[in-house]
This record gives sequence, C-alpha cells and structure tokens, in this order.
Amino acid sequence: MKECSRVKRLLSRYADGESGDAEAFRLRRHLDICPSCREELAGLVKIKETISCGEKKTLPADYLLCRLRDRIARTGGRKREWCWSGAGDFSLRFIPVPVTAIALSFLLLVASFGRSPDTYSLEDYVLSGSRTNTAAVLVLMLGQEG
Amino acid sequence: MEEDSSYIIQFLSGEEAGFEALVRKYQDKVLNIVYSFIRHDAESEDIVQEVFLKVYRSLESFKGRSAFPTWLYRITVNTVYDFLRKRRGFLRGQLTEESVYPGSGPRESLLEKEKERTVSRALAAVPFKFRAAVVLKDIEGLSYAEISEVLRCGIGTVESRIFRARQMLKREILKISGESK
Repeated sequence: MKECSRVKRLLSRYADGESGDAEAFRLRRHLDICPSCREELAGLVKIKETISCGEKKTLPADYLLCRLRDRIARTGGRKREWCWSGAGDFSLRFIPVPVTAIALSFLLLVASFGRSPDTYSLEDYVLSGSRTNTAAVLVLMLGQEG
Repeated sequence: MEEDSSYIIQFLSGEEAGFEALVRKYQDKVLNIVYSFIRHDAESEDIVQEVFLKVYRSLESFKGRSAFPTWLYRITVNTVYDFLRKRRGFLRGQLTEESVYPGSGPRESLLEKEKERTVSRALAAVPFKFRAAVVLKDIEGLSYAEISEVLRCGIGTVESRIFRARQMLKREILKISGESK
C-alpha cells in the first residue's frame, strides 16, 4: 500500500518517459504485480493522449506573415521593446521588489556612513574587538550612536 | 538549431527573410500552444501575431543562452499569461461559452466535438502554471528540462506541476462526464 502511493507519484514521470533506467525497471516490476497502479498508469496515458491528440491547428501559408508585415509597417520597424527575455515574464514579475529593497538599503548604508565621518566606523568597531552583536552593528550602520 | 541560428544572424544583419523563415517554421507550433490555452481561433491568431511581433522587436536581445524555441515558447507563455490576466477569471478557468465550445468544421464528428469540449472545459479548470507545464509537455512534447527553462523553474517543480495538472484534469474529466450522464 505504501509502495503503491510512492509508485503513483512516479507514474506521471514514467508515462512521460522521464524516469531513469533503474527507476523505470523498478516501476515495471511493481506494475507487473499491481493492478491498481496499472489502472492508474492507464488513466494517465489516456489523459496524455486526449490532450496531445486534440485538434491540431495550422495557419495558411504566409497568412501570418502578411498580418505581421502590415502591423510592422503601421507601428514602425525594428524599434526595441522592453523585454524580460520574454516580455512580461510572469515568473519574474516580483523580482524588482527585493532588488529595489536591497539597492535602497545599500544607498541608506552608504549615505549614513557619508553623513557622519567623525563617528566610530563599523570597521573600527569590529577591529576594536568589542562584542559584535547584531543590534550594535545595526546601530552603527544607521549612524545612531548609543 | 543551427538553422535557427543562421536565420537569426540573417535577420540581425538586416535581412527580413531570416525572420520570415522563423515565422514559417514556428507559427503552427506557437498557434497550437496558444490555442490550447485560449480555445478560440481568432483570438489565438491575434496572440500568435503578438508573439512574433515581440520576437521581431526583441530578437536583438536574444543572447542564445537558451535554444531559440525555448525563448520563443517563453514569450508565448508570457503573452498568453498577459492576455488571460487582462480577462477576469480566465487564469483560473471560467472560459466563456464561445471559448469552451469553439466553432468546429461541419465534418468533425460529434464524438470528436464532444471530446474537444471535455478537454477544453477540463483544461480551463486547471490554474495557469499547472496548465502551462502540461500543455508544453503534452502538446509540444518538450522534455522536463526544456519546460523548466521555458517556465524558469526547477525540473522537480515541472514534474510536480505536471503531476498535479493531470490529477486535476482527471478529476475534471470525471466530473464533466458525470454531469453529461
């Protein structure tokens, strides 16, 4: 039973031909003796076939090219478009947020050091051998002497 | 692959023929990916046009770090995502009647039509990121490694998305066949 639940998770990969040789061999051995997993695999293969055997669309020759030529002529030639190597990558949408936060933190850090040149620097503090707990370091980084 | 590179070089050196060759080579592949999300002929064609327009305008920025089809399919998935995002409810399914029941040729058998409707409805119920993985696998036949490049996620994630998408599809298909009985 435990073996079956493990096998069922691997069947999708097996049906896609993505299992390694050793794993495929173990799965085949299990499938030989387990009707429930065989049925599961048959269901997966059926779903795969149903999706892949759907209606295949084709465009008439040069139909798209004509539309594209027309659109390019109307909107201008090869002007470059901002593109996340794929224009609007949904998986990268949120990257600018942490990047901006890091950049702002860095700017704040630089600005705070620049503003108070006479204060005890972080480097001095660390070299002095004092206890470098996080709070003390943060206070120094923000330029607020305690 | 080398053929794609030569077309790209040709285009970058100023000859539109390179781009046209890429369009001819990939237009149907892109169309089938788009159609599997949209299930509407005219809108799918518009999106395919949009995809190749983006390719035309950003081919200069293609560094060749991934294969051209991988880059092209990434643009395709992202363009479809943007299109669906603009339409309320589309990312999680809820297609319109027109989209769920696309116009089909008169010679198409009733059985095929019924199957097509079932697949459309089932796919529409699967969230975008899972649908994208299973479409690239089952429609375009990409490997897990290629899909992970297109969707910018790990191979393990691709595997799990495909597994979960198929579980959802199975559930939906059973539900739909239960409804029609």
